[in-house]
Order: sequence, then C-alpha cells, then structure tokens
Amino acid sequence: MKHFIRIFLVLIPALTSCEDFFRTAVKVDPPSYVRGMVVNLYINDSDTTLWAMVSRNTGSLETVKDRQDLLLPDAVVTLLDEKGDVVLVMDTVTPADSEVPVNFVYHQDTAFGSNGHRFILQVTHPDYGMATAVQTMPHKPEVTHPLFNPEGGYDDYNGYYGLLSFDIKDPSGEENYYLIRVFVIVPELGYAYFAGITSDDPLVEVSYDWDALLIKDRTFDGENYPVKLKVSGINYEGDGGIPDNIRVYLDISAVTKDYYLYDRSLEKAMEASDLGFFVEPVQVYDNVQNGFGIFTLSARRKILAGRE
Amino acid sequence: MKKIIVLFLFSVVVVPVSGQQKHTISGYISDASTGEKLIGANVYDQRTSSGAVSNVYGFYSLTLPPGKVELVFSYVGYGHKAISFTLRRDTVMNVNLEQSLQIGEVKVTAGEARRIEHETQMSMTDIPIKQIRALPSLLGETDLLKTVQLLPGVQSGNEGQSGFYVRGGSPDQNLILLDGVPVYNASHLFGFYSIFNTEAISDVKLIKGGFPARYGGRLSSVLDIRMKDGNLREYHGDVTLGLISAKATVEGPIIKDKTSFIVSGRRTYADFIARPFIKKGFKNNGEEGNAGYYFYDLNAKVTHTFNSKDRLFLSVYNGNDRFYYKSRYKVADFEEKMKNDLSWGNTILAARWNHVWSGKLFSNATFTYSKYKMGTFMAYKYTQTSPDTSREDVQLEYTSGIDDLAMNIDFDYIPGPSHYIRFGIRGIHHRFNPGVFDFSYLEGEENSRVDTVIGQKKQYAGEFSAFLEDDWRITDNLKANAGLHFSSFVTGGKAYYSLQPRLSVRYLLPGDVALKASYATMRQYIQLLAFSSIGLPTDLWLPTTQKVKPQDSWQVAAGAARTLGGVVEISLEGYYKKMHNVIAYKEGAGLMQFDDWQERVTQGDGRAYGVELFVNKKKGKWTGWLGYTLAWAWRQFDELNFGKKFHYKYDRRHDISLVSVYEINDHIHLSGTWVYGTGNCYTLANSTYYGFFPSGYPESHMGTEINYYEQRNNYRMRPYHRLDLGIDFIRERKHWTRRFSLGAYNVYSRKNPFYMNIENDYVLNQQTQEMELVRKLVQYSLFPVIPYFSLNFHF
Repeated sequence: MKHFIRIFLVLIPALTSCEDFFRTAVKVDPPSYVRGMVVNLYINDSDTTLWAMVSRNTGSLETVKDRQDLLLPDAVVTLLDEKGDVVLVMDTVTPADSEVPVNFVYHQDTAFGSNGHRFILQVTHPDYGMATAVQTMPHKPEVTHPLFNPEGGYDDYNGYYGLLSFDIKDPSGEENYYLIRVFVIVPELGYAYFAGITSDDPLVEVSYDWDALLIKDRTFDGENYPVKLKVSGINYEGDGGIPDNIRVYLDISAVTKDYYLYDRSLEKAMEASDLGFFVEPVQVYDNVQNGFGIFTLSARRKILAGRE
Repeated sequence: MKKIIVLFLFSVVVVPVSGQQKHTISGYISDASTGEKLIGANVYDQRTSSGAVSNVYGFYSLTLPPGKVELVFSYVGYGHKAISFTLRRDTVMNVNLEQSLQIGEVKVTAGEARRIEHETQMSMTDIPIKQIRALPSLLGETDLLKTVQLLPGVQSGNEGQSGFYVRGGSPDQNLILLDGVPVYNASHLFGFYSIFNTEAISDVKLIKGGFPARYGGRLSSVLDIRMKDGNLREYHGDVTLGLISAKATVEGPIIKDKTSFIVSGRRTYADFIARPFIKKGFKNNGEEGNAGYYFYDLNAKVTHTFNSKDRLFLSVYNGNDRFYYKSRYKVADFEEKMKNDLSWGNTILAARWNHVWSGKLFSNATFTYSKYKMGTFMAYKYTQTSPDTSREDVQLEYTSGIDDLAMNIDFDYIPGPSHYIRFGIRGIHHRFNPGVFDFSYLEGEENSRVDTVIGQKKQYAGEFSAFLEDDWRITDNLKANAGLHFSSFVTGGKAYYSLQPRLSVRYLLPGDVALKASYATMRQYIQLLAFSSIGLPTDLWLPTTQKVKPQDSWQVAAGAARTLGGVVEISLEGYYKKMHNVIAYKEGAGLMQFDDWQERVTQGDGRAYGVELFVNKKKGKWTGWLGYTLAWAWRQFDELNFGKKFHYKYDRRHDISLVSVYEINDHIHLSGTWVYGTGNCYTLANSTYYGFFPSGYPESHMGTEINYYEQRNNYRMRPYHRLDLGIDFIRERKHWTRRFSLGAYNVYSRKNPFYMNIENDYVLNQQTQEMELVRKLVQYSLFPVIPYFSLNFHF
C-alpha cells in the first residue's frame, strides 16, 4: 500500500500541471449561415436628416478586423409609400465614425412628418436579394401638460431628483408604445443633456438606451394614464435644490411595436450574454425580410414642463 | 372506458376470492445479524412452484393449498434457508437470513432470489448499495445520484452535476422518494453532490417506465430510496474521513429486537481548515472578517415493533448548504460592515405505521412534512461619527421554497398466489413561495427607514390521489401488472383531474427469455423553473395554475430479458415517450423579476425514443454492468425557436457506462467506471451582424454586435468520456474493520466540455509579429484528474 501512495504523490503534480486545461480553443467547422444584408434605419417624424447603415452579416466565428469592411456602399436604399411610389433614395456617404459607421444619409429641408402613413423600405445590392421592411408612422403622442416639481428627494445613490408628472392620453382600439426621455437645458452650461429618469410604476420598463423608458398601453388602452418620473442628474447647487432657470423638457415618442420588440430583445440579449452559461441566448428581434436589422418609425413630441 | 374499469375491478376483487380453501403463510424476512427487514426477498415453494416477494417493509404473504410445503427463502448476498413442514392453517413465519460470506464460486439453485425474467416490472433497476459505496467518485464522496447516472436511459447533465435526465425528461420529472417522502432539491454544492448519505440507505430502486399505479406525480422516473431501520441486535458505527467531508453513522437497539435507532451525519470541513487563512487575508487588508462554504446532512430514524402486527417508524432528515461572508472595517470614526449569506436546504419529517391485518392484508399509513427553502441575505451598514454624523443601513433578503404536508395510507392485499393487489389514497397540502424580496433601507435618522416587501404571494394547492393495481399471474408464463392511478389538483379556484391507466405485461418464452411490454400515462402538477442549465438553489418549484397547465406524458416500452447462468442479467428495451405542457422560460426571462412568474414561462411538447441495453453481473468476485443507450430527445415550443422543434439540450445520441468492481481477495478490492456520451447540445450563433441604436441625441448612435441563432441547440459539444479508478485496502479485526480508499476521478484528465462560448482573443501573428484579434470558440472544462483518498472505520 505504501508503494501505491508514493506513486500517487508523484503522479498528482505531473498530471495536474496543465494550466490550459480549463479553457481551450476548440476547432470546429464554422456554422453554416444564411448570408444577407443588414439594414438599420430609424426615422423620427421630426427628422430632417435620415441616417442608415447597410452592411453584411458574417459567420459567428469569422474575425472582423474593421467594421467598415462589412459596409455595402453599392447598396441602393429606397423608401416607398404605400402606393409603391418612391419617396426618397438615400445617398452613400463615407462614415465619419468608425465605431458606428452609418453609410447612407438623406437630407430634406422639412421634417419627415407623414404621421399615419405606411412606408416600405427596399434595399437592393448586386450580391444579395432585395431586403424589405414595412412600417407605419405613428401619430404624435398626446399628453397633458407636464409639470416639474423640483422638490423630490435623494435616491439610493445620494443623488438629488425632481419629479415630473404628466398623463398620456392613449387612443383606443390600437396597440401603442411610448418612449420617454427627459432633457434638461442649463443656461450656464450652454447645452442640453438627457437626465436620468426612473419610475416606481411596474409597467414602465428601462430601454436599452438607459436614458429612456418604455411603456406600452396594455392596461390603459383608450384612457388617460398618469406617469410620474424621478428626474436625477440635474445640476443643483449645494445640498439640494434645482436652480430656477433650468428648463426641463418632456421628450416623448410614439414608437412602433417593432421598435419596442427590438429594444426589449436587445436588452435581454445583452443581459443573457453577460450571464454566460447560466441562461439560454436570446434572439434579437428583426423585421427585415430577406435580410437582418431593423427599420422603425417614431413620432416625437417635446414639451417644456411647467414648474409646480 | 367505464366497462373496462368495471371488468378490471371484477377480476381484481371478485375472482381471487373464489377457489378452493387455502392457507396463508406470512411474516417478515430479516437480516439475521441486524434484524433489518429485507426488501424484495424471495420465498418459493418447491412443491407447488409458487412464490412471493417481500414488500418494502420486508413483509411477505404466500397462500398455498394445505399439505406438505418446502419453502426456500433467499435474497441476493444472503444464504438460502429451506423450511419444510405441513401446512394446516394460516401461519405466521418470520425468517432470518444470514449474510453470505462466500466469494468465488456462485451456486445457483431453484427458487433463487428473483430474476429479471420473472419480474413483470420492466424499465427498473435495483441499485445495490454495496456497489455504490465501492465505486470511485469525485473527491471520494460516494454519491447515489452519480451512480444512477451510470444506468442506461439516464443522462447526467453537465459535468459533475448530480441531476439526472431520464429518457429525455428534465430533472424535475424525477420523483425522488426518501422513505416514501418526495424530496425537492436533492443536491449540495450547486448539484455536484446529492444529499443522500449512502451509509444510512438500505435499498434504491429506479423505475424509468411501466410505472406501477402506486406511483404518480412525475413524468419520467421514480427513484425510491429506503433508509435503514437500524440494527436491532447490536451497536455498530461507521466513521469516514474524506477529502472534503467527514461522515459518521451510529445504529443499534434501544430495546433489543424491539426498538432500534440509526443516526447518520455528514459535514464538509474545508471551511474549518481554511478559516485561519481567510481571517489572515482579511487582516492583511485591514479588515476583520470570515468567509466560507459548508454543507451538512443529518438522517435519524427510530423503529419500534409493538407486536407481531404493528410497527412504528419515525424518521427525520435535515440538510443545508451555506455560503457566508462577513467583514468589518473600522478606522477612527468610520465603520463599515458587510454580510452576505446564501443558504438552501431540505427538512423532511415522517411518521409511518405498519399494520398486519391478516396474513393477506398489510397496510402502511404515513404522515409526512417536507420542506425546501432557499434564502439569500445581504446587509450593509456604515456609520460615521466625525466630522459629521451619518449612517446608512441596507438589508435585502430573498426567500423562496416549497412546503408539503401529506398523509397517505396504502394496502397490500395478497388473496392468493396469482394476485398481489395494492391500493391506497394520498393527500398533500402544498405551500409554494415563488420568491419574496424584503428590502429595508435607512439613512440618517431612524424615522427615515424604508421598509418594503416585493414579490409574489404564497400559493397554496391541494393534491389528492388514489390508486389500485394488481400484479396478476395469469398463467405460469403470462403475468401482468395492471392499474389505475387517479389524481386531482386544486389551486386558485381551478381544479384538475386525471385518470391514468398503467399496464405491464410479461410473457416467458421457453429458455427463460421474458418478453415484456408496458404502457403508462403520467401527470405532473408541479414543476421546476430552472433558470440555468446547471442546478442552482434558486431554481423554483411552482404549481400548476389556471394559466400553466399540468404536464402529461404517455410512454410505451417493449423488450426482452434473461438471466444467464443465474448471475448475468441481460435486458434489451425500446421506448417511445411523448410529453405535453413541458415548461421552459421564455427568451430573456430573468430570475429575479417582480412580475408574475406565469408570464415568464411558456409550455410546449417533448418527444423521446430510444433503445437500452443492460448487462448486469450481480454476484461473484467480479460484479458490474455495461449499459448502452441509443436515444433521441426533442422539444417544441410555439414561442421558442420560431416554433420549430429542436434537440433537447441533453439529447445524447450514444451513452455507454462500464462499471466494474473486482474483489481480488478479502483485503483488496478494485473498482472502475468508464463512461462515454455524445456531447450535449448547445446553441451557437450562426452569424453575427452589426446594429446601431439611436441615442436620442441628434446624429448620435450606439453600436452593438448582435448574434443570430438560426436554431436552438444547433451544435454539439465534443464527446464526453472519463475513466475513474479506485482501490480499497481492507483490514479486519475482531471489533472493527478499516477501509482505506484511494482513487482518481478522470484518470486520463480528459478535457470534457462544461460550457462553450465565442470569445475574442488576441494572438500573435507570426508573420507580422503583431497581436491581432481573432474570434474563437472556447471550451471550458471543469475537472482534470482529481485524486482522492478516504479512511473508513466500521465497528
């Protein structure tokens, strides 16, 4: 028995000295995939400049050195109305930002508008089949006049917040989705920025864009729905208080269902990615036929909040 | 349907009553040295070729015509006992069998302990406790559930996990019974070990199909575990010291031959050993503190025999896992304290009363309480007295769990040698706690404390079931087990009912080859919401509701079985199983969300089919088995994977287990297991694309990389295989036996996959000599070769 023990004690360090045991790169045949165009286009009814990115997808194991290599500048991006008439054709542009290389643009003098109208996006490219998506521009959201109360309190992180309240006047008989932001103009700073907003209402969800909140009219179709927001990150002096000259704006958009589904699934996909093997991966929603990505429309309203 | 039920009841109840006058021999079959009742012991009359088997309490009943009888009592691992006498009246005969010390030549006689071809029950395996203790294991901890994973038709989940997947089912579809009481979370240390202390267990049976009517409530399997009663004659004990835990068992008579007890405990001690080092680590950081992890199990049982007709059993199990961390940092006028605690565990209480009404009627009444609770606690406290006074006090507690209060009574009625009838009823009151957050926050003055409770209300449900089954010997070659299981479940104003027919048939061909077939429908009213692909204590047991329907299944199986030379059992079986309303989280659903859990889940269908081969040698110097499974398992949910069917995560096409224990002599035993399995499925993105998201600022966007999955579980990990070896050195003395065990898990250090992930890595380009980003598929493995040793004393 003693001999066995001696042999074991020698074997242990020999066999367990492999540092790369726990993490190994594995060679596999790359998964087959359907090649397609990727289109990202968001249009707000207030926009006078439209930005789009048209690129291609890659295999999940393919290394991409530069995102700009994926762009498809030879694509043609066309927006048609419900009759099939061309509304606009976007122009190719050299991306200014390598991190988010949007490569198509369209300028017009007036806001896009067209609330209630249906649009068809068509993207063509010599190497790919035509990709399409359809959306209807929502109507601008109707809200009661927002009121801002600078005397809110301190949050869990010792940040001071004010309270913004308003009612959403929801039209009946249809599914409606709202994206809410609050931006602040501080005259001394000379610019506007989005304030942090939170809500105790369980119906209100935090958007993938953390500066925004989302709410859908599942429980208040056709009704006036009161919303109360805690607005933090606003410049204040000393131990509290918000200067009188700060202007607080409610920035509320009616977004499409596709926008809502894309936002929610993107949020969950990122969360699942962080949790690793604890969860199944999440498929991000996309509404482009014969391709990938998202085409979505929104109608925006900005209202200066009164002071309580 | 009604006609079939009436006909069945007639054949079961009326027919056996008629016939010539016979007498019944009944009693208990026990171990001669300990007094423990022997489950499944065989009694056989050589004159009439009639036989019987003792039930789970060791009771047997055999009805024979009057006259000369030549009874042979037998049990695996025990010597036979032959008794001849003239039967003139109903007779009570309690028999003690001696353990067989003979190794080497194996004698086979008529009336040998039951053979697989004689059993009507198919898809069942008796797992010998002796073999469980002999097998090599992870860190030397013999584990019941890890041994179950070595049987055909049973998949292990991820590496090292004790959860098991039977014929395409999920872990919550296994009914795990400890002395008849359901156990909800049967694992320690995130599933790496089970809660069952093998020193306290006497019998383990796994049923994968052809479920007798007395079982219900789960779709895929029944793991029936029986605890020892305790030695009625002498005091004995067992102490084991292993790498991570220490175990001790003590048993003996309170009143000799009347009342016995057994107490068995186990606790890890890594936290004790590491404590001084951890405290030193805190001190080096200028703090006071402690952190650690442990788990423990405690089993205790008292058995009392009032008289020849009445026995009482009282048993308790308590086990817990706990992670803890606390620290304190103080400097001058500032103090900060932190505390984190995560614990989970089971408590099971059972009181059981056996009563022998007559030589033909035996009953068992049980009252039980079973509880599983998980809790996490976090506290942070900070105080400052100078230059300003300030303080903050945050506490967060989360709890979830399930409580059951149950009562059941079941009867064994043996009217004659051709029928063994069982019937009974059971009632359970469930209380579900789906998860409650209790949050308290104080800053500054006490009157500014915020206390809030968020979460879901406790849910209550009542479950009632009744069963009737008959093990019927139709002819000498044809046997059937037919039964009905009725169940109902009431919760939240909604009631569900189910009548589940069960049938198993065995036909014995010439040459002692048994052909078997079975059909069983099952229903399950509670389910486990597993947030992850590994067993976590945060997995939630939740009831069927108005929105979430009960799970149902039906399964057919057919096969053949034979015993060669009286020592090697061979069975070949095929099965097909369909499941409805199986449950899964919707995509993106999270664990700690405050909305209704019913909104986070979706229900769908499952399908599984396959073939299993099992070759099992139970006797002799060399014992062991070979199991091979060829199987498919699918799932389909309308809300997942675009509604298309996909491979179940644990769809393992081939599964091989080779288990061997060889007794070289009385002092040295060798053991080994080798397992092979096709890799588990996982979801690998097919492609990636780049998206952007408007930020709200003019002409400003956020970029993000998005993975696209064309199919769930579209890839397989590399095959899993592993060799474990062990050697036991045994020394026997007059009053004690010492066993020193030495071994290794994963002897050739196979890098078995635990988790796969696509990652970006920087590698050196040999040509440009620059580091460049490369995308890779990375496999994470868990356990390299891990040696172990343990020391056991039996006295």
